[in-house]
This record gives sequence, structure tokens and C-alpha cells, in this order.
Amino acid sequence: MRILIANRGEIVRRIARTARGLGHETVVVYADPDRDAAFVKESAISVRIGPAALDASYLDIEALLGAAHRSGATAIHPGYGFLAENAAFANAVGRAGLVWIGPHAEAIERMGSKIEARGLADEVGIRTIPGFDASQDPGDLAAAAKQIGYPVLIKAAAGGGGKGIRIVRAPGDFEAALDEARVEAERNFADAAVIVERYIERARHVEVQIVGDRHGHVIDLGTRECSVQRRYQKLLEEAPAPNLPESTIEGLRRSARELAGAIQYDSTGTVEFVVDDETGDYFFLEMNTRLQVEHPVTEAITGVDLVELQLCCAEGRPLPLTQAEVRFRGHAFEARINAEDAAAGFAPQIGRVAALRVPADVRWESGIEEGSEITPFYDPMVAKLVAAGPDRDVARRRLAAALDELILAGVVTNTGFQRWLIETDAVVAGRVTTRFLDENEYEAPDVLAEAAELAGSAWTALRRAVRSAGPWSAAGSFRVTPHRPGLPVVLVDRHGDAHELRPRAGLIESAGSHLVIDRKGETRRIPVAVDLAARRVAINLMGETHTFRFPPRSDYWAPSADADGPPDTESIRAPFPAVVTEIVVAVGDSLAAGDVVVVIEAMKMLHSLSARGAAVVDRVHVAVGESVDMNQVLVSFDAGPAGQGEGEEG
Amino acid sequence: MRVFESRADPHSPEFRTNCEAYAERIRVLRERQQVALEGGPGRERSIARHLSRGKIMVRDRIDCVIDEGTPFLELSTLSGWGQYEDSAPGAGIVTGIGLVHGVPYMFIANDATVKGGSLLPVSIKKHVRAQDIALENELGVIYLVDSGGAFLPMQDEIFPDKDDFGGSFYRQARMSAAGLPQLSVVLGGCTAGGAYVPALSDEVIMVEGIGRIFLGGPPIVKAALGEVVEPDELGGAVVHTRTSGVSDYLAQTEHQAYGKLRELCLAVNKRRVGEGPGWLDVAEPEAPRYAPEEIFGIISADDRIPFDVHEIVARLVDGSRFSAWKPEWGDSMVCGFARIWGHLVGVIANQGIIFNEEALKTTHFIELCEQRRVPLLFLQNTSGYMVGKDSEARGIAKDGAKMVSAVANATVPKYTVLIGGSYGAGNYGMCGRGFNPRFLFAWPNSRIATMAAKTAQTVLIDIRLAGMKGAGTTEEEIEALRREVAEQYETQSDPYYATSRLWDDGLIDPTHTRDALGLCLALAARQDAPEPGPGIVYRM
Repeated sequence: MRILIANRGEIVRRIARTARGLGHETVVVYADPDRDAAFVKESAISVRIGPAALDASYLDIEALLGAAHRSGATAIHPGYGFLAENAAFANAVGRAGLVWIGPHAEAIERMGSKIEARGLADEVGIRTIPGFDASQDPGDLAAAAKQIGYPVLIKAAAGGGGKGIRIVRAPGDFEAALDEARVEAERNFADAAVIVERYIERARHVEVQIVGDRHGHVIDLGTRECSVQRRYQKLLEEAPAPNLPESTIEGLRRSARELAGAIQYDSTGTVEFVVDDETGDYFFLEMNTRLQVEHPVTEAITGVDLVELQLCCAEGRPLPLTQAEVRFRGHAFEARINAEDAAAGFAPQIGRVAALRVPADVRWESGIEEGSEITPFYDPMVAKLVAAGPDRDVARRRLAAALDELILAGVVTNTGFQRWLIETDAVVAGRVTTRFLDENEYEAPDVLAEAAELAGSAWTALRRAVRSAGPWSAAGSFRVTPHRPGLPVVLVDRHGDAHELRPRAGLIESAGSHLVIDRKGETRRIPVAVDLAARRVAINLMGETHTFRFPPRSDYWAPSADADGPPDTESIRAPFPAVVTEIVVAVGDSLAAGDVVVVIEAMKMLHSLSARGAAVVDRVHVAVGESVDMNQVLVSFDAGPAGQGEGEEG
Repeated sequence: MRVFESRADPHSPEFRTNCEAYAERIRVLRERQQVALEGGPGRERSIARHLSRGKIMVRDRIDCVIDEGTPFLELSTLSGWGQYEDSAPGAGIVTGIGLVHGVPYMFIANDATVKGGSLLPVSIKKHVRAQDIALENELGVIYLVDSGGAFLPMQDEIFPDKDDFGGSFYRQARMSAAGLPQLSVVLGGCTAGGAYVPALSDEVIMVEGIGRIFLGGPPIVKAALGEVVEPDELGGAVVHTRTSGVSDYLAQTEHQAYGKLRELCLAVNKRRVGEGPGWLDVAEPEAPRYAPEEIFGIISADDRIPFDVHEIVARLVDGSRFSAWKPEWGDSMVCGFARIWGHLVGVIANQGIIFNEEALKTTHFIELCEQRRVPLLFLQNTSGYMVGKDSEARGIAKDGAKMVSAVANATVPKYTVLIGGSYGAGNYGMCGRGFNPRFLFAWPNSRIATMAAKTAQTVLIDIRLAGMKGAGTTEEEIEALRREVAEQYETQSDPYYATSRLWDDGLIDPTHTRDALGLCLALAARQDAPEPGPGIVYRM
């Protein structure tokens, strides 16, 4: 097949790798901001589909089909996100005579509707979270609560943001809680209607990977735990889901297969559940009719290539393995690397990837490479780091080790957060609930000063190491006197703050990849990436890559453009005879150096006259249209607080 | 080249005694250098005042300008030592060579914590010497000006003579004509003549609040015109940068000025060190096989006991490799080829008295190096040319003259280090100060005089006695005279006496010698090849 991948970044590279490995050709499409992205540059065929706006590019079905037509593609893989679960697109692809690498459109459509999906689950006999919204009568609601079973949640039907929500643990508290919730709902949403729902104290998000073909086979590839979420965005996933009773695991997998079977599911898909960590009860949440971001953890423990299975099924071939042939081995974690500043409320970050070094022995799925530009137009996920091991703890420790070695410089990412996350007690124990990140706030370790010091050491050590042979270089800070030379090293962190420090002694390993320092008798090897030409050092401390710039003295000492020069106590005078065309300032205005004061015209040219330093306008001596002579005072400035010594001494 | 086989035994008692004696000499050197850096009577107060005004110490200023982690070859640190009632450590001025963006510059920087940066006679000598070195080695000059101007109580020794203050401006103008960039940062007063230092520079940066330039300061203006004027109004940074144009750039702080200066140095378009045209053979440098510190054990604690100069050479040159030239003839002069920091040099080192053969051998070797364009390194340790009936009969005067002529006319770069005695005409023939070596360094054990103190006693007493013509000279009188002469010679041949008067470019630790020479040679290698001199008349 010639497969057009209707997506961008990391997933394009992932799909293309398997597709090419199987002898298929691939076509990539890109919007303007991605013109120089790695996934485009690596592709033999790439087609521009539009500008940055998603509607006009990655979500533009016409543009995508046009690109497929132009490039002679015979199949379309939607990746994930974007149009992956868009039945209209799947249908359009089919109508265009192209192979759709995904489930049939009806499956997408039915699972895309929450109501229909729940109905289908009910039909198959999979429980959904019990709830009641049929009446607003307090008596009916109380009865429903009793039937659902305590604890229950009363929440505003129109709600959101935690307003109008009450958790009720005993029937005696129901009435009071209902009143409160209603008042709050009324106040916040102008609608007092509430819903009563089963409250799960410790809810976990567990999902099951399934694959079906067009020959009626559906298999599952086990569970994944995705409870670590922030605002419904998964951050850390693992397979299999830990600490579940065998009966629950079996139930989850069976339910998932049955649901998929019920809709003749014929591709990769994921059935998501909420699991009560205390009871092992599970409830259907939704089904995703696509390849998931976190599919690599399943691949790691099953040895199966899910994209290969997708392509196989799309071609109409039967699944190459049976349920009985699915074998699970070990454990795997996936950390999503997002261009977000976890220490600043997960604010999205943009920038250029200045250095990228990925440790060996982990799976790295990314859309970036050194020099890649992270633009503000798309999802903040730039990479996934997948670590596997014979058991959960080994896999987790390998992920930690990989995060400790990773260098991803120039853009702030959440690697430091991930490093913190995987050492938290709940993750170590495998007992994370979906509220974990609401209840546990990440506090970035205060290591900027230490990172700066180490970066300074790395910089100095490497500069020393690359000295040329001549005495003026190799003799170092030679002095004939006891004068101890040495400027502080000045480096600038990502906030633009300068650090002045005297670096400690350190060595740079011959590969240039690590700084070796002795600290209290213990030798530490710290991952660094030093770029002498770009005057930049990246250093990994506690999982986070800290990037520093080493400005040359001519830059960091030189006056900046907007620096406060000495106050301008002179007046603005006409440099030549002219006509005043504009007076920009008014009496009392405070000016900075470079601010335009007056515009004059002479020889049919406009000339702007600017303040040379900070100044306060004292008087305007001329009017617009007035002809002025050379040296005539146009605007005079306040003498300033110093008073310039006139008068008093006279 | 063969590696020299040392015969020195670091475990012998003599070696250890020598080491201890030299350690004391180094301790004294360090102590005195420390005084030059920040000592001397009342200096503490002036340093505190300097720092309290937010000003930076002079050597730290230089560190702000030169490339990080690179050498600064400071010259004549102990100039003024023991003079002016010890009130002027370093003569209030720091000179030396450092790199900016890899390009070497001579730095001439006033030390305002010494007599307010006023210029004493030796300060002027040091300033002018630095300019001469710059001209000969084609270095740009960076002036860090912070000076109260000429020290008026001694104006007669500063102002009028050929190489006095005027000579420094003459040189500034001539250096500009020679295409050498000169940049000034004004960090303090530049009064009267001092105003010409920035004014004759290519580019000038003034630091607001501290930098001032005027031909006549407020007191003179008041005396001459009756005008009362504030210093900054008269010649502050703002006035000169915005009104008079004497200054080209205004800096708010010293650091800003140094940042700006480094920016200006990006546009000088001059060769960096290591970018030579290739006239001088430069190989990969190699550290000496024998530790330079062992020099301390080789130089006799008792200066009447000679030492083998080969052992010294072996501790200065690359890989301790030395190719002795004509070793079996005139063997009290050691000549030969070696490398210092990779640079090929012809070494001429005394192994004692210079006889006829030594004079002729040296002349021959100088001619050879001149022919081949190999720089010359003189290591002086001689009591001079041989005297006596036999020697005179063999014409030591004309053989010595050949050597002196050859040295004087050699156009290859010449470098001299006083490693021991430098007496009489030996000083001349071995490229003493009068023969314009590019650099002349001295070791703390060196002695420089017309003759050794003992000889001088005999000679002078004989002359005096001859003058007294039999008048009843008592033994006491003779003894007193003996003491007087001994004292004079001891004092005046002391290396600190010499370096104080700028008879050399600095008294240095022997273990620094190899690095210092390497830095100097690298400067020469950066230049075009020196033009060979014309033929000369040798008296045969």
C-alpha cells in the first residue's frame, strides 16, 4: 500500500516505521508550521495541506483527500487525535476508494456517542457507573441513592468545576447535602437540578487493548493503568495494570472483548473502565476506536506490533495470532514528555530543541530532534519514553534511570515532574487514583542554583579540555605574580536571570556527555551537553534538563538597548532649520532613552528627534507648523532631582 | 633531538640544601610581589577608598578584559621597589600582555591605589618600555587610565627628557602609524598630559561618574580664568561623549566599559596568536622531561659554586631535548638548538668565563641562527670575558667585540634571562639590556654589575690607595673602604635593585621561565619574519 498518514509528529514516525518495515510506502502531510519538522524531512513524499489553523490542515478532510489523490496514496492511516475517530472521514476515505486503516465507520460512530456506547455496554451486560437523573423529587433522589448504594455523589446536572458537588456517606446526611448542593447549583448555574451517582472513593482508570479483524476474531492484549491524569490528560501509563484481583482482570478483558465483538470491531481499539480500587468493581467508561498514545506499553509486554496488526486487519487479512497465543512478559511504563512547565502550573512551552540525547535501552517515540522547533499550534506532547523490565519495579527504576540520563535542552518539559512522579509513594505502590494529581501538588525541587553551578563547571571544564596547544591557550591562567585571576563565570538561566559563580573543579568525559565531579569523596557523573559555539550548557539534574546560556562579556556587560542611560537634562534643539510636524510629548511626560519627542520636516524629509536618556518634559516651546531655526530649543526637560547645582551655589 | 641525561641527584644533601635556600628566595619574591599587588604604607586605606567608590582593582580590571582562563604576562611587577621611600609599589602602573579574542595586546593600566595613580619617573619608564615592547612585537595597546597625572614634586625627572612623558605620546602616535590598534578606557583622571592618552587612542570609552578628561582641572581653570566649575561639568564622561567627542562611548559602569571594549576588539582585524605566517618552526609542545622545580636544587646555595647550565636548559626546553652545537670546542659556552613551547630556539648559555674560543663560537652560532632565522635565547651566568696576559695576548678584546657586534646586529628575536651572574662585558655580549632583547627576565638569584663585589673591593681599594700616594692610610681606613665598596656592590647588584629600575622586564620565579618565554616566542611567531640585517665588519 501507499499509506498517507493524516497526522503529525511522533505518531507519523511511529506508523511510518512499521509501514516501511513491511514494505509499504508512506506519504506524510504537513501544515506550514511543520514544514521543517523531523517527520516531514524524513519522508520521501510529503504534501503541504495548509496553514497552521487545524480546520484548514490536519482537520480538513478535503485537503487530506486531495493530498492522497495527488500523491497516489492507496490508504489512509489517521493516527490518533485529529480525525482518527471521525466517522465522516472514515466514510469519505472509503468513498474515495482508499483503504481506511481503522475500524469500520459504524463502530466509530456508535462508540463516539456516549449514550449509545453506554447503551451497548448495558446490552452486553457491562456495568456503567450507576446513577439517577429521572426525577428531582427529594424522595425519589433519596430512594435512588439508597438503591445505588452509599457513598453517593450529588452533583449539579449543569455542573462543572467542583461546584454543587456533595459526597454523602450515610443516608442520614442525604437531605442536608441535597439542599446544599441545590443551593450551590442554583447560585452557580441558575439550575438547581442534580444527579445522584455512585461515588467511588478510589477510582482508577484501567483500559484494555483489543484488536479485531474482519473475520470475526477479537482478541485482547491485556490491561493498562492510566490513572495518573491531570485534567483528563494521561501523563504516565503502565501495562499491565497493577494490584488488581485476578477476577477483575479477567472480567475487564472479557467485557472488552465482548463489547468489541458486539460491534464486529475490526481494528485496534481500547475499552476504558473505571475500577474501584477498594472493591475491584469496574464500570464501563468509553471505547476509543483508534490506536492509543500509550500503545507501546502493551507492545512492550506482549511483543506485538499494534500498527502491524492494524495494517494487517485493514488489508482484510485475519489476525496472525489467537487469544491463546497472546503471552505477557514483564512490565512497562510510558512517561509522556510534554513541553510544559510543571513548576508553573503546566504552562505550555515553546522553543527550539537545542540538544537531545536519549539514553540507550529505552524506547523513545518522538516527533523532535535537535533543532526542532516547538510551536504553539499543537499538542504539547513532544515525546514518549517507554521503559520495560521483568517486573514492575525494575521497569519503573529503568524509567527513572532513563529520565536521569535524558538531555532535552532548549525547551522546558515535564521530565523533572515525571521523575518526581515515579518516585511518589502511590506510584511506587501502584495505588494511584484519578484524583492523585489533584491531591498531590508537584513542587519542583529548588535546584536551579546547583544546576547553574554544575553547568558552570561543565562549561569551564570543557573549555579547558579543548584548549589548543600553544602557550597562550594551554598555559591557562598563567601569572608571574601571586594575583589570583579568575572572573566569575556568568550564565543566564531560562528565566533570563544571570548567575555569577566560581565553578568547582570538574572533568568532562572524553565523549563530552558527562561532567565528573568529586563530592565528599564520592564521584558523580552528571549528564551534560555542552555547545561551545552556541555558548550553551544543558545539564540533567533530578530528571530535568536545565539549559543555560553563557553570554559573552560584551553582551552581558554592555548596556542593553533600554538600559537607563544618564538622564537627559539637555533640551531638544532643532539640528537644522525645519518645520515642526508633530509634537509627540506633553509637559510632564516621563521619557526613556530613544523616545521620540518631536518630529520635524526639512528638505521634504521627516526627522524624529529623540531623548538621549531618561527625561521629564518641562516645557514645549513650539507649536506644530512652526518654522524653527537651527539650534532653537523645541522642548526642554526637567533638570531632574539632582538639580545640577545651579542657583544654590551662586 | 636527544633527551638530556641529567646527572643531578634530587636526593643528595647538596640538592636539598640548594632547594631550601631557593625556597627562601621564592618566599621573598612572593612576599615582595604581594606588596606590589596590595601592600605598602597606607595602601590599605587607599584600596578601601578605591573599592568603596565601586572601582575595581587594576589587575581585576585586566582580568575583566582578557579572555577567560588565559595567561597575563605581567611585566616589571617590582618596579619602584625600595625607591621613593617604598611609597610606590609597582610604580603605580601595571603593564603586561594578554589576549582579547585571541589577539594579544599590551595593557598599560594605572593603579589608582598607589599615589592616586600618579606617574613617578619609574612609572614613565615602565609605560614607555611597555610601548616599546608593543611596537617591537606588533601588539595593540589597551590603556586603562586612572591617573592623577605626573607626580609634580619630581617633574624634572618626568617631563623633559627624551624618554620621559613626552616620549610616551610620541610613541602612541608612531604606533598608530604602524597600524597598531590603541584603545582607552577612562576610569579616573586624565589630567593635563594624561588627557592625550585617550585623545591619541583610536577609540575611547569613558565611565560615567569616575572618568574625567581635561587639559586643566578645576583648580587650574580657577587660577587661570577665575571660573568655578564642577569636575564632571568640565570633563566628565557625558560632556566628552556627547559634546566634545573626545570620547566615543559612554559606559555607566566599569563592567559595561569592559564589555564594550571587548566588543570593539572584535573589529581590530589583527592576527591572533597561533596564526603566524609560518616563518618560525613550531612543533607540538612537549613538557620538559625533568621538572622545572628541580632548578632550585641545581642552583648552588653558595653562588661561588658553579652549576652545570645544561641541567638548567634541560628544565626549560621541550622534552628536555637539546642538540648541543659544537660541544667539544669552547665548552664554557653552551650553544645549541631546542624548542620552547614548540618554538625552535638557538640557546646560548654561559658555563662560566668567556674565553676567546667561547667568543668565537658564540659569534659563529649567532650568525648561524641569523642565517636560519632562528630566535636566540641567552641564559646569562658569567663573570665576563677572560682577563690576563695570555687572554689579552690572544686578542680577547677583538674576539669579544665580534660577539658583541653579532649580538647587536642579529635581527632575529632575542630573549635574555639572567640565571646567575651578569658581570662586565659579559652582560653585553650575552645580550644585556643595552642590546635590546625583546624581553629580559631575571631570576631572584641573579646579580648584575660591572664586576663581582670581591673583585670590586680589590680594584677600588687599589685605585684609592694609588690616589692616596703613600699618605698614612691605616688598616682601619682600608677596612672601612672595603666595607663601603662591598656594601655598594652588594646593594647595587641585588636583583631587586635592578628590577626596581627596570633594568629587566621582571624578576620571575625560575619555574615560570619556560611559560613566560613560550608566551613571548608565540608573539614573535605571529609576526612576519624579521628582515635580515646587512653584513657587518668583523675585526679579525
